[in-house]
Amino acid sequence: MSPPAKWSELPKELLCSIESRLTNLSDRVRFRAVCKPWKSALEDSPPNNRREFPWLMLPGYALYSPLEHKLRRPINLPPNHHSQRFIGSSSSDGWVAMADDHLNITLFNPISGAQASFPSLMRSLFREWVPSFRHLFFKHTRRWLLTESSDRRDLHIRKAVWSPDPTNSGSVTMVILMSNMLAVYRPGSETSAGWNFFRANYDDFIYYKDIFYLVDFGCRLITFDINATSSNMLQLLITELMRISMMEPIRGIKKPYLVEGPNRSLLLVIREMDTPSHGRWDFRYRTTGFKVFELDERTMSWRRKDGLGNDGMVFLGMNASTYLPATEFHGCKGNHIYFTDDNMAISGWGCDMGVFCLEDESFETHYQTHVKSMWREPIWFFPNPVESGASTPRQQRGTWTWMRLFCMNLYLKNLLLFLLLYFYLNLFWCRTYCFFIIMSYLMVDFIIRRI
Amino acid sequence: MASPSHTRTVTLKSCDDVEFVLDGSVATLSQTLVSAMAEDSSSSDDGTFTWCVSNITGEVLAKVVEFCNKHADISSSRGEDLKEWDKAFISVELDLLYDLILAADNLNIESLLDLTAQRVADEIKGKMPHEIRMLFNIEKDFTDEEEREIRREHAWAYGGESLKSFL
Repeated sequence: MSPPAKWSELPKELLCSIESRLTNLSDRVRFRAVCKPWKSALEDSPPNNRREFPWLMLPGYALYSPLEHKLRRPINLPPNHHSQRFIGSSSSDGWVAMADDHLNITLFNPISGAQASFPSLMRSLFREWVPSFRHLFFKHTRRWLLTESSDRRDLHIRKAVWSPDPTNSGSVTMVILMSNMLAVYRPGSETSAGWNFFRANYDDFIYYKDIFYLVDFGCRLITFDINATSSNMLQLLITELMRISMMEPIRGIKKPYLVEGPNRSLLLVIREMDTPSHGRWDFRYRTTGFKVFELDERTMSWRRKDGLGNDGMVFLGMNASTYLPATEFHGCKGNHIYFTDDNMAISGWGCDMGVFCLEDESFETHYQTHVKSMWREPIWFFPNPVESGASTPRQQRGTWTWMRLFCMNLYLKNLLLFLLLYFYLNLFWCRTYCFFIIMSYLMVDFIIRRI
Repeated sequence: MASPSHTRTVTLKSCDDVEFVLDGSVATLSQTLVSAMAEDSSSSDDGTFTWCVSNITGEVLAKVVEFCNKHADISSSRGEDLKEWDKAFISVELDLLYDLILAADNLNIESLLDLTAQRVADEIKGKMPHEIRMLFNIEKDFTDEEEREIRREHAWAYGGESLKSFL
């Protein structure tokens, strides 16, 4: 009889070979925690050196792994997580971007619990909208005060994408697509609050070959040079306006997604949606199908593709749209599109998600239970336990920050009061008081502009 | 100049002196044997080649030879049949599995290595470290402190409820 097996003394290459057959990240992490020889043998290759099948982050912050069929809770949630929406996730670094009602942007790693916050978007936006007293008075104040609700809809964030690998550069370049503008955060611009805004009306965008590409409803492709400062930074690449929609009849509403496909090709996936309306206030929608196109770089036009090939999987939603080869994951079928709700109507619905097979155009479900959230949609995220270092742009809270915020609040709320007082006093010919009041008002304006 | 290996027979000798005679074509599954035969081809003329495997017992070697014979015989077994046979072949006790994986590594038989590593991976899947230790009879060499630290660092990997229990 042979002596009892000494599993802990397995040679290193055998351990590596076994480990390469463990498809789930959690299995690989636990594999290292068995004993010291195993741990030291596998030290050269971190557990996240292979890609993990994306997990679904559900509205209640539960993490669902479709391959393991397991639900997990994140270890530590960000402080004000109740008011946060998911606005994006990246396949390269495991972060999820979140925004609250006041457009404070936070990056959050649900697995390691790491967080990074950006300067408030709302504050920068407000500063952008207060260029001068006159301007403010005649144009934006009225807009801001009277039509706040419609402006809030303008501020709806569609997607956030950031340049990959924030560890190397030490900072993140983040681009946020809103209803009718682009917000760009560049690292190192500390004199301003970091956010710059550009008027633009686009549907989806992607970081591809070191450039940001945007696409609009007409499937036009536009490049976006992040470093340019002039206004002609948006460069039109393709003028094939509406050509696809003319050649290929598309039912109902359509939404384009840009995906980086195999061999660095650029894919355009069009999601067709239908609104099975049962009444005037029924905003529900349902995905009815997908069509895939590929960019033909010679003729600069979109070429229709039958599918994604035998081993292609595409993940769509609020996340940065991602293509993954199915062969990397045990038990996954190719030629499928995994999609989640991405809040097409701002009213929110949250349960338009599933798996679409391009071959026979059938739908399956990936998460069995019914998800319903009025404003926070489930999002695909790409687990990666390693923290991305201390690369986080910190929010500068100087001595004057609270003062500024206070002033701004005061300014907005009392603006009407000032004006009323002004007219009232004018009516009674109290010119002296009137002068003082105007002076004080101008002073406040001056302070605000200096902030 | 190496002679075509299928003209020869190979005798494998285990550490407890059990001998197995393999056909040359069967022996080509093992990269170790192939390279050994290529080196040796000039000296032997009688068409046989003897190879001593110092650290594999007869019992294990019998299993390996059985596997090689099955896999070399392409005509009788293919596709689904072979998969079924592999499944039955590999459902052995873990002690024997350990010897098999080492033997596969030693003789460098790729298909056997795949099969055994996959079996070990299947055993490990979804288990907690202490369960893996118990299964493979591994002594815990982490202190409680270290273990707590590891667990804290990757706490997410230890939690998780199955969807069924959650609903």
